[in-house]
Amino acid sequence: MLKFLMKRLIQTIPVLIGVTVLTFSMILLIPGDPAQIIAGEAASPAQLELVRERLGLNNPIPVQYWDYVTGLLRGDMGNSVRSGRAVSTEVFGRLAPTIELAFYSTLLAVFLGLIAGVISAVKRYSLTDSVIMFGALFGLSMPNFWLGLMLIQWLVIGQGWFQASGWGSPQQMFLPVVTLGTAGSAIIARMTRSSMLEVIDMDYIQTARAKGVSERVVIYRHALKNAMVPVVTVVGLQFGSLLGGAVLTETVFAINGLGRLIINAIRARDFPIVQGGVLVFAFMFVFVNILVDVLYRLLNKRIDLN
Amino acid sequence: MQEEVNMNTGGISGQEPINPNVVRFKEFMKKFLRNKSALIGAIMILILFMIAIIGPMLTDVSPNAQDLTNRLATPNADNWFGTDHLGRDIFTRIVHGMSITLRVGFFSVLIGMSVGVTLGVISGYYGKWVDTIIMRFMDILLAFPGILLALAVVSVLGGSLNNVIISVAVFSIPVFARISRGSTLEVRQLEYIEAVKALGASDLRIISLHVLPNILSPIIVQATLNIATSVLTASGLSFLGMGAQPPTPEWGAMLSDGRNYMWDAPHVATIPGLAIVVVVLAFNIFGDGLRDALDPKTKN
Amino acid sequence: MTLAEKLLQVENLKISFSTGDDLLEVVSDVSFDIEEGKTLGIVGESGSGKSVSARSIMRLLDKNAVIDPNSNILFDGQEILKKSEREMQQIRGKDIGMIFQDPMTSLNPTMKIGKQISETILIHQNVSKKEAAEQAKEIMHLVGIPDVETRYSQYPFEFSGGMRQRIIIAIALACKPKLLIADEPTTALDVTIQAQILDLLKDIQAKTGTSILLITHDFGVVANMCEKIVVMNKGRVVEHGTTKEIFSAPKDDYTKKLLAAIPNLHEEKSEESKVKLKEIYSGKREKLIEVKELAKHFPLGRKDILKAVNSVSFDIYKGETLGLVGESGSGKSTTGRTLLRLHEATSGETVYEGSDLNTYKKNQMKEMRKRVQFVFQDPYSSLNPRKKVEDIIGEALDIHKLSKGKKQRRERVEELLELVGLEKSFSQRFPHEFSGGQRQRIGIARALAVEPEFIVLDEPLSALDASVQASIVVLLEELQKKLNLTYLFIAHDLATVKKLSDRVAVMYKGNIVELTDSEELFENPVHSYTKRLLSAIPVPDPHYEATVEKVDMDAEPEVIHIGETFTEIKPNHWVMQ
Repeated sequence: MLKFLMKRLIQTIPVLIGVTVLTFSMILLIPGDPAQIIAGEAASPAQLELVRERLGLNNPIPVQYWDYVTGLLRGDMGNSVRSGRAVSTEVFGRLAPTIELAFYSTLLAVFLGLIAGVISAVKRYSLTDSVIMFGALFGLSMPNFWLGLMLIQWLVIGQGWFQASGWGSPQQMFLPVVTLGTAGSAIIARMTRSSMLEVIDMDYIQTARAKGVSERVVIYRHALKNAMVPVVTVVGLQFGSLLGGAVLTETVFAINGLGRLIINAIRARDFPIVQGGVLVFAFMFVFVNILVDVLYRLLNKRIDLN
Repeated sequence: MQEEVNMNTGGISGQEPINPNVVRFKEFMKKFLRNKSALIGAIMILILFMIAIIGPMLTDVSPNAQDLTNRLATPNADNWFGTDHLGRDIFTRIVHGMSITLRVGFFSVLIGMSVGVTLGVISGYYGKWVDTIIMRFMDILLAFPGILLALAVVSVLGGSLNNVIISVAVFSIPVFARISRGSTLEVRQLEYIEAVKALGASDLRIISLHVLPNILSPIIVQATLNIATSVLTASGLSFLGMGAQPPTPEWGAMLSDGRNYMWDAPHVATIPGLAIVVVVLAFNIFGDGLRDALDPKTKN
Repeated sequence: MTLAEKLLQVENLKISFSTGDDLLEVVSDVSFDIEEGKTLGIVGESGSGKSVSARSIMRLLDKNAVIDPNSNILFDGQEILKKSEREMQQIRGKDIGMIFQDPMTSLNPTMKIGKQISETILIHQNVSKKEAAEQAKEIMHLVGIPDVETRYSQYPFEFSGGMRQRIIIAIALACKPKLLIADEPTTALDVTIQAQILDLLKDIQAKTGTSILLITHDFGVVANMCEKIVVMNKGRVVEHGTTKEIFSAPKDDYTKKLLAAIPNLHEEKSEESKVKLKEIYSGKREKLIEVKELAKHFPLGRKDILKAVNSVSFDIYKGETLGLVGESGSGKSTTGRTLLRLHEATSGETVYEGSDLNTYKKNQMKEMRKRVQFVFQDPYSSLNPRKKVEDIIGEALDIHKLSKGKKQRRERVEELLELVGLEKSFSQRFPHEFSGGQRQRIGIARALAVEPEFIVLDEPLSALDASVQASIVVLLEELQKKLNLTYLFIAHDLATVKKLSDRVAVMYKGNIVELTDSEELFENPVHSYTKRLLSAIPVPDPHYEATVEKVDMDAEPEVIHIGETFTEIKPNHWVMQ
């Protein structure tokens, strides 16, 4: 297992390098003079030259990239153009709410999704199944920023039950988690159902029936465990995409997380922050994927990979 | 809902075409028409298109016409969906926004699909180092979670409708690349591909005449479902102010405007959101139905 | 004979499937019975309704199956068809055990095999978990799984196909059922493994006295196993009787046709073939291809390689058929594909009229493809389902620009269809409209379109029913004579290869272990693997089966010594020693 983990980590290196290349080139690809953008419209030629000097913008591009990467390795992601503070401080200071939000939302999604999916599969083609599946489709079709606003509308403005902004107390956390977790639970429910239905048609289910196993046991002992294998992958991917979805949710609920930091930085044209934030998001996502792979393998060790 | 009809019992000569991606057209139409959700989805999409094309001709006010004396009016006989903070008629703006939404959905998927499928087929067909390079590149794109890649692209290119289309397209390239690569690998090992190779056919001939037509179904299904995702992502970008700029009647942007009036006039935010839901739902329903109809495993 | 001795009586069984609005009758008026401790074989080709009949005894049919109310299935004096689902659960696994066709998919991949076996015991017997485990281990021992203690807690993927089938048998036997239903238990297995599993079933019957209902498409298997036989065709019983009666004096035409279709191992070769051999051995026939130390390795991960073909050398003479026989994984198909550069060779030469094919450039190879062709194993996946027959066959003409204009192209396609015994009008249809045999003919017509001189036939018969196989063999023989073709005929069993081939090469683990003319090979096999392979053929002749002495099949295949050098031990008989 350790060997697999090592191998997987080594495989990730080119991806990580690619990610840094992309975030690095963000600055290069901005139309216009990066120094001008960073220093602001009103900057004098002398100030511009200073910015160029400080950021190494006069160096050849490969050198700039080298400086960027070596800087990253030292934990240096540059400084915010607006506040002047280190990007790393800004970014890591905002990380916790985002991770918590994504984590709780994933928990909710897994919990709701699994229950709904199994019920749907067991009662396939019944009214319950149709209702759950339409619900899932609807959940999948809602923009989460709109769902967030609607929840605020009904439960905060209408009922005064929760708080519509900030992060920390359960009252603040409930709505964002529901908002972000809904689409995820819809996806997991659909996946669980189809995976269960696929497994139920397998030969080994017939073998179990031929043993005289009752239908209940067939489903819960033989089908469910096998059906979970592809679902695990989806859960992992969900956590990643929920990280991304946090951008919108944080904006709606005014949560001071990484997503909101990036959005505000884009508005303020504070590119070092955008660059650093996006990079941290991508790295997190890559490592979550490795974790999922490891988990999948642990679960899947028993399955013939051919 | 549909009845479960399964003919998998051994013994009857149940030999089906081996290629899992191929369903014959007649059979497809039969299943499609029986599949109520696909039909409903198709009708919904048709209506949406008609609204996008004919709608703007039928509305008599301009979507940007302001009437500051009639601000934040709730839905009534004159303003079916009410008015916004500048007194603009929301119904008119929704109707005009339809074509924007559909355009973004279609073009972004079209671009993402063209690039993604090309890369995926090349990757799957040639394998080896070509495959490694292309798929590693896709991994890099996939390393940006969710909407973030699109956001990064827009932040570089600047906020505009065309840039939204491009950024959402970039975001959907890896999805298409993966799917078409997988199907190509599946089709490539079928014996009829080897048979044409044994006849001396060139790679180009094999790819265009034998591989592509046989991997179309999963790609079409994915494209349909991806329109739904793209519409969501694009409206998200506009909601954040990174997409269509005011006063464009883009639904995400309208929703964003409505946010500030949640207490007094909730309909300003609610209605554009509902419009997005309807469009996304239509494509999701259609895509689901299409998948069932194209899947040889579900029998009619 | 009294009624009490009959364990199972099926009377007037009629089963239909509802397909939307229609009822499709798949089993009509089927009756048979099994006595205690005996084996009944049901033989039929695909679509005969044999499996559906067997499953109805377990009541394991799909939901859309409708059993006619006038049908009777009496098991041990009880009417199966009147049982509730709960009552059936008590019979399944306890009184009736079932063995399925495909051992690769019939075991739960996430459950330890010991648990899968003891589950049956725990359901039906009031015993502790520990005792169930003990019993399960005993049964594993009985079905010949070595090293029971370790194997007990392993997962299915850690077992080979043959071993998995033993586990499935163990599951079925766990509660010592009175009846064992075996639905094509060996179809998915190699011949030598098949022989082992059939021996095991016989052995178990001798020890436990269970009755067996054996469903198969293979007359060879029933001759070996059964006292009585029921022959089914299109949902009906066409003939039943003792094995001896049916083999010696079949009454029904369909049975006769099936029996006639079985290749006879003792049939003498034709005069023509003898002449061919004489010419080859005396050097009068020209060599068409010389294969020299051809090897094909596939990378497995970064470090390991799979030596699919491990340096093989042989010659193919003009106008002959060289048979290439081996079980799955022997490298026979890879050899055929590498020969025609569908795979690139790792090393070695394929000398075709003086020059090595492996050195040919792209355009040279394209020219070459007009002279060498390939016929594939699977008639379903070898034809593009989206193309008309005219375009499938015509593609060869397009690629090499062999026809001018649409009219000429169509005429040529129609000519080819007639050549392989199909109707002209078929050119306008799609592959799915044809049966397996017809599709295989289309595949042959496609190969013939470029007028090749050499064709690699890669198991062209193995996906077809026995009666269809025979007609394809006749077609291939006729074509060879008419068009002066040379064949490399690849097959997985010696029986099919014998009829068609002049000389035979036996492959094992990437090596050719024996090569000589087919008669010599059958009369004097030398290599231990060849002997094993010959002995494993279930000969559809009950008399032969009863008298012949068999090689002990229980030996693990690793025991076989491949040898180092390919030596001519007597004139024209080469063996790896």
